[in-house]
Amino acid sequence: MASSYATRAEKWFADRKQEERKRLLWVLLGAACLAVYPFLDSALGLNQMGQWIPIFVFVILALGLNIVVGYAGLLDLGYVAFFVIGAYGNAFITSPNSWFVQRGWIPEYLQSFWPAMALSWVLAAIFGVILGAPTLRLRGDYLAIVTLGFGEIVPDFYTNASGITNGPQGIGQIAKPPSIPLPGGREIGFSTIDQDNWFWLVLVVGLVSIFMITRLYDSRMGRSWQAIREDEIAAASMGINTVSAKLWAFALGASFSGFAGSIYAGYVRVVYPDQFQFSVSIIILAMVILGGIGNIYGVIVGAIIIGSFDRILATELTRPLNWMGEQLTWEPLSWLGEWLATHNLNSDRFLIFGLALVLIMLLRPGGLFPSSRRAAELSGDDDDDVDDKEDLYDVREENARLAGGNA
Amino acid sequence: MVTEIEAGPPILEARGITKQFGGLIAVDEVDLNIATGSITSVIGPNGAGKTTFFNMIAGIYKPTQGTISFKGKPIFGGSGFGGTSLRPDQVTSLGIARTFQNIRLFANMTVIENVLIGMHSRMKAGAIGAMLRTRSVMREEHEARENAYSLLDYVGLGRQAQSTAKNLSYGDQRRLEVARALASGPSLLLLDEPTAGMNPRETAAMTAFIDKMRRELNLTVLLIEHDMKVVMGISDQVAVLDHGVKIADGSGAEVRSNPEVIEAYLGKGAAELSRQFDAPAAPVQSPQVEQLHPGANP
Repeated sequence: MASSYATRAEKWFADRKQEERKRLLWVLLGAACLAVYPFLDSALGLNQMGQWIPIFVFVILALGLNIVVGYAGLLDLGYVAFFVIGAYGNAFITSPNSWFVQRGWIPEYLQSFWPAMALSWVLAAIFGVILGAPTLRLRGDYLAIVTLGFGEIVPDFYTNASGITNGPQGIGQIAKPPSIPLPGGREIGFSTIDQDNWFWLVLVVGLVSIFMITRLYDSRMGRSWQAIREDEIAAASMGINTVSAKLWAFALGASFSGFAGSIYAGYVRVVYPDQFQFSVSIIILAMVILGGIGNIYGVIVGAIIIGSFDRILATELTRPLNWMGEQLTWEPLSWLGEWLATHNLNSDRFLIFGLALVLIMLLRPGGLFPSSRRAAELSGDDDDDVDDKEDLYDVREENARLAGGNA
Repeated sequence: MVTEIEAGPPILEARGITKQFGGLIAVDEVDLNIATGSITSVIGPNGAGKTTFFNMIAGIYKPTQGTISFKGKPIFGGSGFGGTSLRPDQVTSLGIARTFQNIRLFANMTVIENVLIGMHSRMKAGAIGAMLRTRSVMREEHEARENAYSLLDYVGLGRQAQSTAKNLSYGDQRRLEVARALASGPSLLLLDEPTAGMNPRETAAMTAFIDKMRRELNLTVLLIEHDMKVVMGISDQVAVLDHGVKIADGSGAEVRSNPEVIEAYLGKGAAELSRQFDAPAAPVQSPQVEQLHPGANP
């Protein structure tokens, strides 16, 4: 083969580099489009900044869960547990009301946002291993049930351990990120009114997450996850320690959740157990499945769609719906008009999520933007494929090759 | 083709291996020594416990009793705190690689990715290194991919490196399984029915290839095989299992004249008839294969 590269491997790496550059360009382009949103928001008076920041936090959560569910194929229904651990981790370290801070156990230099975020990250990863180790011997449905249990236990623990966590009232006065001084005496602040800065901060954190996760998937570890998902016995026989590979997936997935939790805590400045209900786990899972399990860009889109519906559209669409109800005075349907005029779409959110998921599963089982590999696995025609090939086996071609080949 | 093997220390020693599944004794007190550099075949009727025996060497099943050691190191032995019981991945990193009877490729991954998975135990990169793409991680990835390409060339799949594994022809899938096993750099290769489902010509090519690998890559090969032509053609040692018990062990000639073996294959009374045959009429190839490919038989 005529090629300017010495070996096929070198050519492959050169191709990959080019492809990655192209992808980076697209991601940056997408990020740039999002980055101008705060200007639009104030120019058009949309007033939705306070909703978009939590949506981006949910994007990071969905990216983390995608490692566990999409890459390693482990169904985790209790992902919220690590979100709680990350958020409370930040609170314990930085809040003056924290039981740990009041006892002087946290050194002064750690009591600010960034060190707390790094620590929460590690803390969540450690808990990922602690919760993962006893459960990863289980397969499929059983693992899902056990993680479901953890997702319920962990927030309950924070509710009931009120001596340390202040119970249902939670912990307030969590540190915000320190302002970044700019030349000319101005600074980039992160208090509650600096919504724009928060928006960009979360956007940057999201970009860094995408960068790290794509590299992770395209590595020895990413390959071992794919192998385990396809055939665990074959993977083990090829030298993959399946337990430790799954634990890594659990820990890395948890670490992104911890990361997101501590940012969220720094943004809302107060954590209490009711923020972290079981439904959070399910919403994140729905984001991953709707967007395209295993495909990081699909997951981002899925998270933005569900997040924006959950936080913005359900409220915004209620007004036109009520208006339509008011117009509907035609006698045979006046009951419908009355119902619509007072109905609040927010109470139907879960009904609509459920319907959307059922439709997606029926029409596009791989999600809106399926990962090509997951789609192939889900279609489940692997074996038929092999059989077809056997029937179509070309003897002459094979004989010619064997005669001149390695025999 | 049979080469003389110097009687060195055995590379694999199995002592009194037993595996019980509930009330069924699948493998019953089997001893087996495999000389370094040899080709050893395990034969026996269907359900004789051959694959179970394989799986115990590979670490997938834990024997109920017995010890297995490889190059003097225990793979399985004893119980309780003093005992050893290696996981499949640990067995692989000691230098034992295997293929499967019913092909178990990573069907939705590419051919070269399958081989790269085989190299897993020889690579080191962790999560942090992968995210930062440190120099050592990149060097390792480059080397692994170079090696994977040369392995694929070796088995004759170099041009299909980027195809999806499930789109390969049956014979190529078998070849890819061998390449994937070789990728871990084994010194003992376990092949579970490598010629199953192949036509006579493919079988001959695979047989020659096994012998070639053994010579060129300094391998020891342990083979499960039904095709007697293959077994008698390349084996230095043949062990026969029947109902989990080893009933014969020796050179091909010794085993084929053993009355117990003939009985196991053909039933009681067949031993007397056997003089009329050159070799025991083992289930060699299904006749349909040859009908489907007229002219394929040399």
